[in-house]
Amino acid sequence: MGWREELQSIVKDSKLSVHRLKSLSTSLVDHCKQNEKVTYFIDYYIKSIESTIRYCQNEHILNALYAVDLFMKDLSHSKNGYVQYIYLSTLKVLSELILIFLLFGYSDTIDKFKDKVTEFLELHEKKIMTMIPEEQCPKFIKLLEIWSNKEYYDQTLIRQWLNRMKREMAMAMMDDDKQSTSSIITTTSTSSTSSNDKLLSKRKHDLLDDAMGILMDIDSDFVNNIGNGYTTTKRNSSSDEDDGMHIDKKKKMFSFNIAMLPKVSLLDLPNELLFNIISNLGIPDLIRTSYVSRFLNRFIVYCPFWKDMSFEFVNNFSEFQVGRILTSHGSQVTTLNFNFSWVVNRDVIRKLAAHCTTLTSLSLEKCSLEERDIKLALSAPSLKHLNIAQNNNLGPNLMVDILSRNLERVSVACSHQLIYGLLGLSIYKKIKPSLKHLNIDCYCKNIIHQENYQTAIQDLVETNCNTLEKLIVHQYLNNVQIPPNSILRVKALNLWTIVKTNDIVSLRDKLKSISLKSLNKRYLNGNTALFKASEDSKIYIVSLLLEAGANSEINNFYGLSPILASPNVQTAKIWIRHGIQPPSQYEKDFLLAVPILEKYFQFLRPSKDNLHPTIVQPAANEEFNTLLKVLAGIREGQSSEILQQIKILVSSFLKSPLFFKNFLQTHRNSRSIVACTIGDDDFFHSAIMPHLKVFQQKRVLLDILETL
Amino acid sequence: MSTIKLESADEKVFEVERDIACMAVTIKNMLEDIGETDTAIPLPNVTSNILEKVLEYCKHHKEHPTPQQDEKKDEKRLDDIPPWDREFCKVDQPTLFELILAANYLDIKPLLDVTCKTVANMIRGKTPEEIRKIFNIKNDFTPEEEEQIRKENEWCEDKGN
Repeated sequence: MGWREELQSIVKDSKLSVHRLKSLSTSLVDHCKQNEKVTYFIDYYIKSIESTIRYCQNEHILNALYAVDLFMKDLSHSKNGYVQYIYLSTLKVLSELILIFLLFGYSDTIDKFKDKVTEFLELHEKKIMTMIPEEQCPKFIKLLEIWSNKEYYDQTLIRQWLNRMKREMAMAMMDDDKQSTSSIITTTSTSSTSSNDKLLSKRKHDLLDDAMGILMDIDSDFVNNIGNGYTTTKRNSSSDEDDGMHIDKKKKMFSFNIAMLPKVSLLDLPNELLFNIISNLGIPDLIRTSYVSRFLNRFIVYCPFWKDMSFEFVNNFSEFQVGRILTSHGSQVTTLNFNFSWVVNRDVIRKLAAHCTTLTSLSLEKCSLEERDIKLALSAPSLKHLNIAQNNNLGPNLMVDILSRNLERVSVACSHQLIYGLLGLSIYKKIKPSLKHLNIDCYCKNIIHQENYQTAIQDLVETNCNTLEKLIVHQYLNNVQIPPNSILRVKALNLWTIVKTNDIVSLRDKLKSISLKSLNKRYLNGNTALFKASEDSKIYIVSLLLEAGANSEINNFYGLSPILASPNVQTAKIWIRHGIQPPSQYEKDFLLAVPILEKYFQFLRPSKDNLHPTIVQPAANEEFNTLLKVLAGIREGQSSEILQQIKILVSSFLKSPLFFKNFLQTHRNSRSIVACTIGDDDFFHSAIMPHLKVFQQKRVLLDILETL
Repeated sequence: MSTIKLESADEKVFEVERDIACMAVTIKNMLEDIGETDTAIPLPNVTSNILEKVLEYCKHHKEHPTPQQDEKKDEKRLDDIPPWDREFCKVDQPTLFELILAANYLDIKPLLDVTCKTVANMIRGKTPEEIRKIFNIKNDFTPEEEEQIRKENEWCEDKGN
């Protein structure tokens, strides 16, 4: 009988045999000692113990844990013994150096053992914690108490378990108390906990260093049982029957009882709930959280959070860091999303091809990659879905490579060269039956009105109508005759086109049953439909989209948000009216500027009798500050009536020399003033400004003012 | 409208409309199992103050049903908590965690989602040190590991947005 089978049979026996276990342990320790390269054996032993825990029945969990305890103890004791052994043998033959080497090798083994044990204890935490039968819990707690004094267990884990078990026990006891006395819950709880604690601490002293004591208990019980024959067994069974219902009920409550605990903290939550919480986080937060503590580190590194990896909204990573993440977690990834991300380059793709062996879905929308990068990415062995929309620098012949893989979904929307290759060069004839979804839509106006496109699409549809399920085309090319009885659906109307063409009727219709995902889909340059509506100042559509729940925090490719895209005061007011919380300080300032613009509206527009209206009432400092902040933080691609108006307003304020001077003398941030008054002048901005220190800038301005 | 009784762990009895209580799948299943009953249904793992909050949530969402969405799991990442729910989740940490546990036990998925998202939002954008402080988690790395982590960590310290 092999070691593993022997262990499993010992554990399965309800009366744990210490002798048999001891001999197992001795053989394990001997084995570890004799071999310098014991990795193989260690793995075998670890796997045996792990599978024993995994497959044993609930009532045998505790036995398995006792076995673990014995092995760990013998191993670490033998470590000390081993030093003696080596000392003795030095006197004989071996040279000191080799011995030291051996010694280190051995403690490595123990460390490895220790790590593995912690690992699989955590792995089976749920089974151990919730499945262990209630009547075994006191013994389990004692075992944990002992473990909490041993340096070779992971103390955080043990302490956490211990606390949880103790509390659950306290609850179970409280449950008992409740049936006899109807005292208030809190007092019972504390008193039972403390009595429990007292009991435990007393026992702890007795058993401090020796879990075998408990094992002996079991054995002596066993002996007693035999000795007393039927009487004991009979008594036990009859009381069991009486308590049958009761225990069942208690057990059921027992696993849920945590909810009543006086103080719950994050790490006390069951793992599946912790998972639920953490799965809401994006990659940067995941990584930061994994640095919080050992437990969270292990929890995050080993849980399948990395399966679905999205870099779509990650903007503070470099390519190097992305590469590093792929190297360490790539093997777990199945879905990878780089849409509108700046962090992809050839190195990243190389890492992807090397490490992401289980990758099935890859999105590279608008990633400006080269053809050979895509070819490399296509080498990922289990790739099924590929999205390379909006990549204009890929040559038409790449389509051949894409279609040569057995992909299921392909999107080349707005990648004009690829569409040209597919339709214009008739590469569509190479479409394989595996292809189910094909997206050849176009979001921009540059759809090429090639005559043969329409016929090519018609041909494509007719030849593939029995295998292709979904085809998305541009609305201009939607005059396709679908053969009857085919599974193919052709789609041409998307939210983007609807917003673009101001088609309110279709919009209302579409919004009735739209998923959040399609509502927030990013089209050309990463703009959402909401962004487009805001940019085009289609106020009514913005309202409709917001009411449907569109996310106003999705920035476009250039980092501009729908709020900042609002071109005029009327559009900007919508966000305020809908109570949208601006996600960043800059957007907050931007929206704060809107009422200021409204207040001074009359001064912004020259009338017949007053071409250059001057502001009579002095502006409040805060108002001025807000306007300055907006001007100081202008983003790339942000140009609108609002900004023009703010500029006019600021210069109107500054026209009053008194205000300007006063402001300059009291205000610290003179740089932004310089920037917004003369800063538009490129020469001054690039040639003179950098050479002036802050106080000098102030001086220059004050000098200019003096001469006025 | 018929009502049922729920008994919290500390033996307080709440009388609620059947429809509201049935938003908790656990209770719904229990009712299906036992049929019509006048006796209070015991909820041994939910204390009265938590149960009160949970019922408040159910009541509000019965009266203001949220338009159904979220049919797909991959929308989870978006932190779209409705304003009322956001207000609802403004409670101290132990209460929040107890709400999570109660929502899990009673099987009220929207409440579980919204509370979990709230906790996730508490983590979002924080440095490891801040996270430790918020949740009172002990830093159990050795100084060397800590140093190593600090080095690796520098690049994500810089908060996005």
